[in-house]
Amino acid sequence: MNLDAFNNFNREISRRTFLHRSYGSLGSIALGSMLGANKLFGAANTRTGLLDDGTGLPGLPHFRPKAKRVIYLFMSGGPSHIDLFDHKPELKKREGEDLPDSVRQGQRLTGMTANQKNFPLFGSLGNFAQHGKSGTWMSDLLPYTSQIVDDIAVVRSMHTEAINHDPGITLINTGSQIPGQPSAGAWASYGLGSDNQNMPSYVVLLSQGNGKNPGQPIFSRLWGSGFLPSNHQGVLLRSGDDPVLYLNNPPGISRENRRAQLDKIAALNEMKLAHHGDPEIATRISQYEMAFRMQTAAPEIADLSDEPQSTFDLYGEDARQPGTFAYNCLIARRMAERGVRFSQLFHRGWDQHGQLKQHLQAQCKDTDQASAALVTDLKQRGMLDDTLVIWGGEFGRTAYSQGSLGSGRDHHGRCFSMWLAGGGIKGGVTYGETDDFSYNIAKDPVHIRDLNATMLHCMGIDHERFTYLFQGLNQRLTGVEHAHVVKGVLA
Amino acid sequence: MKFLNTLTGCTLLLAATAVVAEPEPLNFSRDIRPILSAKCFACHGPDSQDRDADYRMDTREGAFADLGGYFAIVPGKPDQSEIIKRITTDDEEEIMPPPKHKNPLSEEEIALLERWIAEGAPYTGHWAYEPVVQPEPPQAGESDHPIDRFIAARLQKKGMGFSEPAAPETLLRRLHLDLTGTPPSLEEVDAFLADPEAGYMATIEKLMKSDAFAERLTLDWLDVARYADTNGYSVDDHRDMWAWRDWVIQAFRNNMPYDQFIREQVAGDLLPNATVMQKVATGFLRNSMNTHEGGTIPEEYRVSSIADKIDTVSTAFLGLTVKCAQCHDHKYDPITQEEYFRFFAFFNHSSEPGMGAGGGGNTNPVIQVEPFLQDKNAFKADCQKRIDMLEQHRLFPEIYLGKARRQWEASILAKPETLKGVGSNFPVQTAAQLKEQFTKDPRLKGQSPSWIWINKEGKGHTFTHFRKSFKLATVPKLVQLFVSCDNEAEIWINGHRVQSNKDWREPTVINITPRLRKGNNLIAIKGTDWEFGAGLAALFAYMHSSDGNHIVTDSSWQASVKAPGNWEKKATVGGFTPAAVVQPLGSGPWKDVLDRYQRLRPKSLEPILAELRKPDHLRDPAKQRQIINSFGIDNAEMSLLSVNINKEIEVLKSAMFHGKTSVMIMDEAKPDRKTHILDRGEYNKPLGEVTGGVPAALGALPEGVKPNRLALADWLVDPSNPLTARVIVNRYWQMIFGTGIVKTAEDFGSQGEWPSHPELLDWLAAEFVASGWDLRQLVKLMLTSQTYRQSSRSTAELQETDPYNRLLARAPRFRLSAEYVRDNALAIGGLLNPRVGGASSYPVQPHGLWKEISFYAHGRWTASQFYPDTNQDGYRRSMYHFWKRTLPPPMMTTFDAVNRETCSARRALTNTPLQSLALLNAPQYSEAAHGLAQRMLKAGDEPTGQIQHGFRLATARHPSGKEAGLLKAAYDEQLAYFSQEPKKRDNYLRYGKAPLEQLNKLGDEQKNQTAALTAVAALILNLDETITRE
Repeated sequence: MNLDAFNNFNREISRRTFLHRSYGSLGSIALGSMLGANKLFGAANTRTGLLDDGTGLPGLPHFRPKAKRVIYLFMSGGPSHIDLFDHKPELKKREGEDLPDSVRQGQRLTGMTANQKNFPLFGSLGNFAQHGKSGTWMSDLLPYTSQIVDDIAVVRSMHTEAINHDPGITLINTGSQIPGQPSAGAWASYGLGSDNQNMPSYVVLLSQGNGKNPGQPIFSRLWGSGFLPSNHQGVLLRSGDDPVLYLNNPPGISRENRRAQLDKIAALNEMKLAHHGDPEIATRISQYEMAFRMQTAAPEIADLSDEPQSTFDLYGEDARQPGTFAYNCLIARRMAERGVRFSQLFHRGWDQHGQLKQHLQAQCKDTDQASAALVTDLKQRGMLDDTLVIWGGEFGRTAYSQGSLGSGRDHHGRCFSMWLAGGGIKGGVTYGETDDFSYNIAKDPVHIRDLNATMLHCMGIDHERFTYLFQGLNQRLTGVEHAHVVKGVLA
Repeated sequence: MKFLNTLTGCTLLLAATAVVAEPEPLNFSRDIRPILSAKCFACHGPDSQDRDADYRMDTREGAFADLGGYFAIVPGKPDQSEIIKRITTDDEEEIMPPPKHKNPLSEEEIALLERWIAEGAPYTGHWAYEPVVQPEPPQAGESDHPIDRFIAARLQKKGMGFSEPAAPETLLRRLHLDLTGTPPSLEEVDAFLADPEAGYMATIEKLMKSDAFAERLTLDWLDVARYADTNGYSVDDHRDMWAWRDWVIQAFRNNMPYDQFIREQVAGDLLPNATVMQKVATGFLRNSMNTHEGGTIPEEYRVSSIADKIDTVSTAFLGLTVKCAQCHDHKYDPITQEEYFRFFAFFNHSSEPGMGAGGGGNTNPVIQVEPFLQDKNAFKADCQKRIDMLEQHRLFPEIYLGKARRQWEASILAKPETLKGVGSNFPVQTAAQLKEQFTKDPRLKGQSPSWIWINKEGKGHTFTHFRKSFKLATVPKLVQLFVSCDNEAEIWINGHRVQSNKDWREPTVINITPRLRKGNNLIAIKGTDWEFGAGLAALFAYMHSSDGNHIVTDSSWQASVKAPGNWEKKATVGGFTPAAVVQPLGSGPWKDVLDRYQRLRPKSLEPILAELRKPDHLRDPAKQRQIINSFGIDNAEMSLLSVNINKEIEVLKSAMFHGKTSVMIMDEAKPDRKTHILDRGEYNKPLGEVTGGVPAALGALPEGVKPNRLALADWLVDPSNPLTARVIVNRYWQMIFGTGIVKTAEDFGSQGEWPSHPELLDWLAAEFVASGWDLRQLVKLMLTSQTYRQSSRSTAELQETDPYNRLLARAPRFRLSAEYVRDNALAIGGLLNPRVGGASSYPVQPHGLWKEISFYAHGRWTASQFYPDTNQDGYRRSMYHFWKRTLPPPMMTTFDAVNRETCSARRALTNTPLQSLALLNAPQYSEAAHGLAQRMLKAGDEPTGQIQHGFRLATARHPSGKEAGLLKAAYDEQLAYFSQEPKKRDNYLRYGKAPLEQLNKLGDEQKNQTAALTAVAALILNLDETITRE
């Protein structure tokens, strides 16, 4: 039996056991609470024959996980690794000189700089210094992140084939440049299910940076479920009155009134179930109960009135402002506390083709303090050990200038930097090396699929055994090419 | 129950594999080949590039070959068969599959393989590649209907039979939902109940002739054809492909034979004397995604768009996934990489450029066509209606800007004396005046205000830096600078960055007086062309001073590609040369830039002051437009909104002017383009050259035929093609019965699932071809079967024996698809607008969703902010919902709609709390409840009768006594609630579509009753039964 079949089989037994119980004449409240106690946020998928109640796959995790949950701080647009993480004094020395052909080696460039006559090298905008016990190099554009270097592992040898945003961002979020694959968060939701009865297992938060505005567009496929059942798609948690789509009752309908209405719906649905015997009806009843609970659970996450001033000292006053990156970081911590499996923040505006200095500073100001605060906060709460935090974008930027010297940098996928922290990750590590121009990788390359394999590993999943049969192929997040867990960053 | 069986202990285990392995003789295709495919073919299969060269088991020759004195398979002798040794050994080095594959054989699989060899190792090719031969329906069951005989035969083997017939109401509702997505009217129900037997065929005939049926079949095709209203990649701006959708509706209306349906969509342009309609049909192939992203390498996307066409054609018509073979020979199915690129060659002669047109929208090749589902005037009226809708959003932009407009208006009214200053004191108010200055001012004589750039070629520069120095004897009272730059500019005065201009269409006008000084001054402008990097950063600037002096862009300006440090500050810098004039002002693509200027600068707000004091609904639209223009000058968000709305209006106006819409089609404009195998499928790594052809395992093109798309289409519809008919018959079975005979409707290949009723599938396929590929006939065949007409009621025993209902001892019962969940509710609420065809509509969705992810403020792209249709168009069928690929309508995706980025032949069917929230709270569901309540009110004065009526409208049946009791109790409960909460009651009532005036006429008691009835209507709409095809 393949995994799905095995899975169906197991679910089937528990499902039918449940059904036999529910054929009786339970009152709706009793039924509701019984379902609530036993079933988590999820869904049943009848047409595909895949019963998927959101509790994750049997047999998963494959081994003891270090991280119970992930918070992915996705920096959309391609942050400049040269100005932030990858210290290259040589670039400064040779500023204005052309990138040597021996370094470029005829590699393709985007259509935006391919026709440039010159490729003048441009040194980092930031001043680099070593920080912490580990002596990790970091730019002074990231003063707060510099203070948590001993808790994070900086990977300087990330690489991707993509050179443009759409394919690049699709690749890093779904494992393929071609649309149609599930996002990493959807895989996590599918494999591990939810730890919270009242919230989705995969939640997405969006923010727009103060650098390039608007930043490059993003797409729902980046948090989509691809060929996995659609209940695993990321659920947008929005700032505003309706944090989850259609969360609020129509005007004039109180919570008590809603409760009374749901009891009647459940009673009628139960009569149908008793008469008809389709287990989907029982599932439907339980989904209405979960919806009712989510109506209080979601706003409760967004209600920051119980946060002390010290929280805002840590994350910055921006964190009071819904829709900012800092606010979203704080929300991510609150979701982590409540067992949301996979939270992903998308922060736009990291696409510095021009106005490098102003825009990069603005992006760093948006994100640096809150990103570091999140790690510190989780640590203080004893949650960093089982929460994996990932920070990075779809590619890096060129060592040479786009346009006049220093005005901007083009996309660069041949090397870039990301950092990881928390569950399963060794702090104070700098992994991988690039050449003097931060153009090519000199040591320990880490492909995006390796990053994904490592992320799954931290969650207790062997990426090679975590598959879903679709279109005749045992599909996986890490794709068909060989992926490696990056042992060098593991605790 | 009479169909009890006693094999529950056994079937419990089998349920998981969807009733595959029954205790009967092994069937190689069903029981053995899937194991070999899943566990062995990766190394011992069709992939010649990566195969363990010694042994291949996907062909008979390979499987039984002499391996040098020993054999992998010795029929009848498992103990002498090498594969048995290798799959049962304890030796880590020897064991198959190798442990590193992490794909081990289970105990059951090993046992099956042993048993297969012991039974003589019968071997056949993959069933789906074998020719279709129509079997004789077995003698089983009481029905003569061929479908029933196949179904009954399998049921009999399990000691089961059909369920009782469905109740007539259920059956009628089922027919209506299956064929149109909406329920029958009560008149139809009553007529049917009078004589169900006679009414059955008549109903089918009637529904099949309806537009709703054509639309229902079209909707199904839209997923397969990945139809969308946006380009999909990156900025995901709008495209116009709805003419193709209309073609599909028309095809189904006319019951176009399926072979013709394929031929026209794959090769309509290549048919002799191809008509416009036939060319439009090829839009099917152009539904691929497209990009406008700057920096794109066009060839990369041209190749990926052909890969998408291959994926779509092979999945849609052949039920095959061939995309693996883009990079290497297929691991499971007999398709080599060379064969993949022979397929590629069919699509490689079109003139598609790979990268989308710079202006957005459709990309060549396109044609302009008159709509064929409506006349030209109706089409123009539709365009105008949408324009009016957009203007309405512009005039009253509250959903986008919150209270900003009201606050601005209040500030204007509070300080009337400042009114003159609103906008600007800039003496030049209109384009006409500006032009007049140019012609009359003696100091400008001989000067020619022009668009300038760095050099005449204007090639190869993303950035251009412009400088102009000038002297001032004194700083004038007011100096303003007008800048328009294609694409955008940053502006410095004497080294101070003062402003940027994001879009040449909306010129920037700045008061630069504070930055000027006596003596030397410097204007520095950095122009940027983001689009292609082969830039045309062209600048027009005009400085006007209150003392009458002017500076205009001309060849006296300096320009440079490179910008030395402090270029924007220093009096002199090196490297700058005189700018080149591109075009005089008024010509070139930017000609109307001054006219646009006029729009944003009303003379004064004086004439509209009176208007400002009126409530919104009494305002004159023309005057409101002036107000909004002035507001936009002060409010950047309003200005952006206006620019964004203009983009969509421009598209509509163009369509309206021509009376035509654009649609992307296929051509053969590049007949000489060679096709190469691409190493690892990468666009820039060509290997050997190939010509068009089909995979050898599936057949061949006839001798001498030109290997183009027409040859491909003819091959697809050749009755000898083993897949085409099986695949479509299966998909229609899936449409009617919820699950295909082959559950993996998208994959008939080696890894696909074994059919639940293989003989039935072949019988239907053969019957379908023999009928002249008649789709209506095919569906009718299904609808007339006992299998279809039985009750869907399940029992604990049936759940135990056949939880997924693959044996069909009961009719399937499943939730409506996303589109019909909504259409059904709107129909029950009396709100559905049945208008057929034409451009897509914009039913309301939560605000801001598009903007949060889009390139909105760029101003250049459409579909970056959602402007809902708050008129009747917002209530059209969901298949017309404007489909933005990067953020499809949430009401649809919540209910498992796919995003239409790529071909999809099957949707999941989930059951989630987000669905419950949508049904309970989404505005249109609330409106449907209000609508239903209004219909219920007309059914008499007593709540009991009203409720009964509402329940019937939703379910087509009468509620049982107990159900009626519960509903009445709910009514009483709600009545008590609303009676105590008059304010909440009024808020609740106002939320509906019913006119306020009507509600205001009601007394308290009537209002309470209406609100309570509405709550009961909402309850009815939320019942599982209401959203389910029973």
